This record gives sequence, structure tokens and C-alpha cells, in this order.
Amino acid sequence: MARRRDERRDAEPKARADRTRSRAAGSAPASHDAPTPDGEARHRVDAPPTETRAPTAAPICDPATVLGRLPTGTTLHTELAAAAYSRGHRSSYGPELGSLRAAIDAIDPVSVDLTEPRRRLAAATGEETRLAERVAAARGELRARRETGAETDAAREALDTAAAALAAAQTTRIAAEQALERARDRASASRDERERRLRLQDRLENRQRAARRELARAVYPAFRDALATLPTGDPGAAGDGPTDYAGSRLVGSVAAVRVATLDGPVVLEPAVADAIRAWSGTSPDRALGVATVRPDA
Amino acid sequence: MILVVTYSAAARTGLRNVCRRHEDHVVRRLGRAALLEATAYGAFLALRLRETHAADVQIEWTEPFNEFVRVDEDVRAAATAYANRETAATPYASFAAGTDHPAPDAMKRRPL
Repeated sequence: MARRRDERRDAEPKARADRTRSRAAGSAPASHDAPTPDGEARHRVDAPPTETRAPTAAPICDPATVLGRLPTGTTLHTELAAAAYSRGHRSSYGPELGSLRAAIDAIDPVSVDLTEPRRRLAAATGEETRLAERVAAARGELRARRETGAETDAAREALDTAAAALAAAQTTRIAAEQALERARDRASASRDERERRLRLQDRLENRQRAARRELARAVYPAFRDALATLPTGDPGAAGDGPTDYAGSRLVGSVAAVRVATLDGPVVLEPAVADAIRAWSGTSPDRALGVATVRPDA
Repeated sequence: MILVVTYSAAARTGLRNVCRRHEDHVVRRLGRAALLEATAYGAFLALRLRETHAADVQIEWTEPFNEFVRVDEDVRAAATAYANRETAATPYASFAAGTDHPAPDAMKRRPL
């Protein structure tokens, strides 16, 4: 077990390096979606705490992470899935999870920042409006001077200048509009990619949940037996599957740890340690079947 | 109104939280998108999300649609007639052929 854990630790950065390389080469990573019977490759496929970039993708069930601390802060499903995993069970979803992760990793949408094009268009539109008002004012001035027979040369010149400036501003505004339009097209293509990635991530999470359910079911008989060995455990509370379990959460977690094959030690929060010590005829280490430590150890 | 569309799980969660906390500023929630009130506060909520999630948040400005202002009469009439046609299986192109109803290609080329 200890050897295996070290391998996993090594496998992580390697997997990441593979991905970086293949992305740099512009090709989809094919290395870790191939369903192989090799235990280590499967390990990488099924135990991904840092593998996916999906921010909300729950790690499926790394045993040391899920069961290494009580309370576990997770569901009985996840605890039992982790226990099953530690005992060598593998879900039938491994290859699918691997190819979903590969597909997600292969999507690398560009980030199109529309802020500058928007700012330039707003400025150009504002300038055009300002100059249009100046042209109107100059035209009014010229008309008034004509009507009163006053000298019009200066007013005509002011109108020509303003009109020329307005024409230039219009050209700038049109160019800004077109630039924003092009940037919006690029952003839209990038959003298509993001949308596709999000759909794949949702599917991945869905399959991870299904994989956890499958793994949890695989050890449910062992879980029921473990409940029977605990002084506070009631195998009758187990029901037919993880969703039926009606017993105490702590007893359920303890039984899940008993089912698991862990290197230990398991960290017990003081309240949990006290609760287990109050059980008759056992100790935390004996109840859990693995060494326990305090959180400050 | 302000339309906010999200394109990642984190942005979607962020939008969901905003909608839950500021219900009175949400006109409608549509899955990973939402329509916010056209107020400075609605804009503040939308911009805050985009500041956090950058390209995973799209913000658009929407207006109520008035077909009597935006759309020519022939298009409105065609929509009504086609929706109430007698033969359900007739595609619109065949339905419009030989009538005064505008052809689909002509409508596709006509901007509003």
C-alpha cells in the first residue's frame, strides 16, 4: 500500500507534464484515456483530486483524503466509494471518466476581452455626438448671420471645420463598431467552446457520482458486517443500499473506515475521539481498525 | 434588462448565488443565465460577476420586443397564417410559395 501511494504521488506531476506537452503541440492528450488493465493507469483515471480543471468536480474517492479524518465532511456514498477503492474495487466508469477528462482538457478556449473595443466605441460615439452638436450650432450661427446681413466668413469657416471634424469622428466610430463586431464574433466562438466544456464537465460530475454509487454498492455487504462488529452499530439500520442507511453518521463513517484498507493513521477530531471512547468495550484504534491520531499530532 | 450568461461551473454557481441573494433584482432565472433589472444595482451585480469570472460571463442589454415597431406587417401576417395552417406537415417554404407571404430566404436577408 505504501509503495502504491508513492507511485500515485509521482504519477500526478507526470500526468500534468504530459498534458502540458500535448497541449503545446496542439493535440489532444491520448495518454490517460486509454482503458488499460494496468493498475496504475486506472489509479490515475479514478482518483483525480487535482486532475480535472472543473472547479466544482468533486474528487471521486481518494481513500486517504476521504477517510483520513473524522468527521469526513462528506456523504456515506463517498466514504464507501473510497473504502471500496482502497480495497481494489474499480468502477466500470473508469475509461469513460478518463476520456471525458481528456476531452475537457483538450478544450482550451481563447479569452477575448471586449472591454477595450467597448470603451473605444463609447468614446467614439460620445465624440461624434459632441461634434454633431457643434455642427448644428455652427449652422445656426451662420444662418442667423445671413438673416441679419452680418459678415459670414468666420461662421462659414467654423462650420466647415466642425463638419470636417464630424466626418472624421464618424469614420472613427464606424471603425470602432466594426472592431467590436469582429471581437464579438471571436468571443462568440470562444463561448461555444466554453459551453461545450461546461456540458462535458457536467457529464463528468454525473458519471463520477454514478461511479461512487457503484463502488459504494460493491462494499455494502462488508459495510453491514462492519456495523455488526461495532458496539454501537446496528446492521439492521443498513437497509439494502447506501441511500437506506438509517444509523448514526459517525457510526457509518467508522464502519466505512473499518471496511477500507488504509495505511493510516486516521485523524480524529476531539469530539469524535471522545464519542468513540464512550463506546463500551472498544477504543478508537480498535473500532476503526487503524491507528488514530489527534488533529494536532 | 441585463442578460447575464455564464460559461463555467464556477460562474454558474456565482450567478446562482447572486440570484438567490438579490431576488428582487432578478427578473428571471434561466438555467445558467438570468435577466437582471435595468438598474445601476443590476449592472453592479453583473459587472461584479464578470470581474470575477472574466470571459466565462457574458453581459448583454435586452429590450422588450415590440413586433409592431420592429417587424414589417407581412412577416407578422405570415407568422400568424403559418401557425394556423391546416396541414401541419407543410414546411413554411412550400406554404409561402405562390402567396404574398415572404420567402424564408428573403426574411433571412432582411435585418430588423
